[in-house]
Amino acid sequence: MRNKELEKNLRNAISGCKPDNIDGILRQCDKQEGDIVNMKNKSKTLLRAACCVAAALVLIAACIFGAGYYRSNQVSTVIGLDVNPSIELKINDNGKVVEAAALNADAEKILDGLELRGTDTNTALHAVIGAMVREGYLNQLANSVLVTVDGKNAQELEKQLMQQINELLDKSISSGAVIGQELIADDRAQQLAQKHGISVGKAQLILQITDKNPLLMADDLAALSINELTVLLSSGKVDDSEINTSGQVSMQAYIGAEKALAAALAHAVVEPLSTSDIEVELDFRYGVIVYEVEFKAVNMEYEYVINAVTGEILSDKQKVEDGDDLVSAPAFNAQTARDIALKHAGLTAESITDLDIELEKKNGLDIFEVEFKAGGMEYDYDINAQTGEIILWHSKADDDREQPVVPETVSVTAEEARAAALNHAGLDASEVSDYRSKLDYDDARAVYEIEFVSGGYEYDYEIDAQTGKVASFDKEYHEGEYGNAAAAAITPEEAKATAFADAMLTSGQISDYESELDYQRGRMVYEIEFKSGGKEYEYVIDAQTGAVISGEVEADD
Amino acid sequence: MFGLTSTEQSKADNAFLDRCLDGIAHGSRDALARLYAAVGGEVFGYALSVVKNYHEAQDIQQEVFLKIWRCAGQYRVGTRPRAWIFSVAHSLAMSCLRKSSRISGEELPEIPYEDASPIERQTLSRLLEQLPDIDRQIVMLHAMGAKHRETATVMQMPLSTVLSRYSRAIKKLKKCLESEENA
Repeated sequence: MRNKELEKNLRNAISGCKPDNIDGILRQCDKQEGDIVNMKNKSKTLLRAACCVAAALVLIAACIFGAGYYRSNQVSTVIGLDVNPSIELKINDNGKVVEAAALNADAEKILDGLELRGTDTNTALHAVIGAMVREGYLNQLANSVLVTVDGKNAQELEKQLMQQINELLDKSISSGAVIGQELIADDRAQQLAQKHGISVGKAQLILQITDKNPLLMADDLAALSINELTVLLSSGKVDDSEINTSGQVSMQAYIGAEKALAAALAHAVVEPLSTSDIEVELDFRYGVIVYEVEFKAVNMEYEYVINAVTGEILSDKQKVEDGDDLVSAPAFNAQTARDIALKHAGLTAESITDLDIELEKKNGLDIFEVEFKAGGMEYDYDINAQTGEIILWHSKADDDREQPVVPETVSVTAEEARAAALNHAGLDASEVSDYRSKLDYDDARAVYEIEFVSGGYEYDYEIDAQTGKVASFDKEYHEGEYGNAAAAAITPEEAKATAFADAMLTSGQISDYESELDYQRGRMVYEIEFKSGGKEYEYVIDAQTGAVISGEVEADD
Repeated sequence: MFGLTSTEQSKADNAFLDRCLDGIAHGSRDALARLYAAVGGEVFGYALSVVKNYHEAQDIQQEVFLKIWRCAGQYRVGTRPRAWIFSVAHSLAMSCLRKSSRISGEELPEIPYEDASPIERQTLSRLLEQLPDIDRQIVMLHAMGAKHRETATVMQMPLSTVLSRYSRAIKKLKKCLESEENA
């Protein structure tokens, strides 16, 4: 028996017994949108058994005792509490704490001397929040808590916990802000958490923020406290409509917009009355929370970045007023832009200082302007925010002489990368089909991503674009060969005619026709591609019914 | 989604799953129903390979889709949608497994097949009975359409470990089925 036959048997077995419960799921979705109640009773099996075996009372009593003991240690929900201390409370089905875990050194200080095991969730929450207030982690300057819930009825519990924490903070430090979320076991969050030694819940929140604002970098935000992240969320720089927040974050640690503006005007030696278009916004730059102050005066535009805590002016720029240029959403985020620049400069994130990234319109292009310092040099990169191409870079030495340098390209050509992959696979170019190659960046490293099919296998390579070496390799059965024309109800010619009819073309009008029989979502289909009139057409036709499953047309480039 | 691993199909398939998840993030029930039709079986199959109990796997499948309904907004469109879905399933199934492991020895409920040949049923039974936890999950994930690389992501293991364990596990399963056939 071959591997693929065995896997096919598994697929068919699952297909033959899988539940069809979409109606039940949609009903539950409706419930969740309204008042949430217990989603379901998981003990149906036990209940049925109890009814049927009424005679075995002793046995049942033993089972109940056993189950009770089991439930007392069984974790059904994990509650994450992040301030700067990060604590996990593991809760059983009865709402009692099974374990309280410290995820960082600050949390150890909080849990030291607290005996939470066996207490109910409410009591544990009071104790932990109370200890954080006592130890000064929560006060009137920093009053934010992130609560992350993983387990049964997470959404309902999240609401309850947010309300309880808000009440506790209102009583103890007069006000508080709470962010609530349900944990997703997302690979990105796990990696970020591991990399920076933070909780997965905090990592998840950071990624939500960086996904909303491509100028913010997850690596930088990892160092912020939950209060600073909450300030950032409230700054308007991040769309927080999908983030569940309640209460009011404290801004008392910051100098305030008025003082920031006054500092900027004083530095620019500009009279307040002569200014216009004043904007003061909170943001995160140079690794700290800042006020960005912009204003116009006497045909000049001023832009200041001011440390929001100390009032120190971190940067100041003046230029002749030239109107606003709107920038489109970039194709990647600031962290990727930084990595492209670092890769090019041969530097690591740890070796640089004074990093600043802005998204600007220059000569009609959307540009990430990346600036940083390292080894007595200042670097300034302009990176196309849509393509990732380095358009220009300058390095400025300490003697202030600028040295423009032509952007260099990767040292391995696409052809060389292809040869390296084929050589590794022991194949000749004539033996492969469906060849695809793409230059991409993987963790700040330029790689050629290469895919092709040969001898019933699908090959997947990453070739280092600097060294030409194979960086990774994967080989799998190419299951497209399951397709068997004899089993299809309609012929390739009929499928072709269907596609042409749908595209309103005749065979005389088309070129580069390709057809392949394959499987999609359990059904046999013809995948058809052709070109006509400067356009590329792609069709998927059901090989049993002849129905058009999908049709796409795009410009032939 | 069965039988889908060619490059082009994977891309089309990922685009379809992306659209579904994006639709769900915007509150589309139709998108949830489409996603369920597309990967409901895969999620169930994987859950079954983790917990080995039909009813629990059924519950997990439901939990997975409810969680996706609530949290699809956290998926980043254009990344690997199947790996993300399986990650959600992995988390919920492992949580369920922690409970199940405490009542080991309990006879597993029979699987209520509606349609499957004897050899197909036997293959699934032997997978559940004969393979160790991790190997069982690796084989099932691959059979359910996950690439080895996606399996490595879901199970947070190096790709090389996934490849070697898959190879060893599938050999063991074949050997077991063949010896029964010869007996």
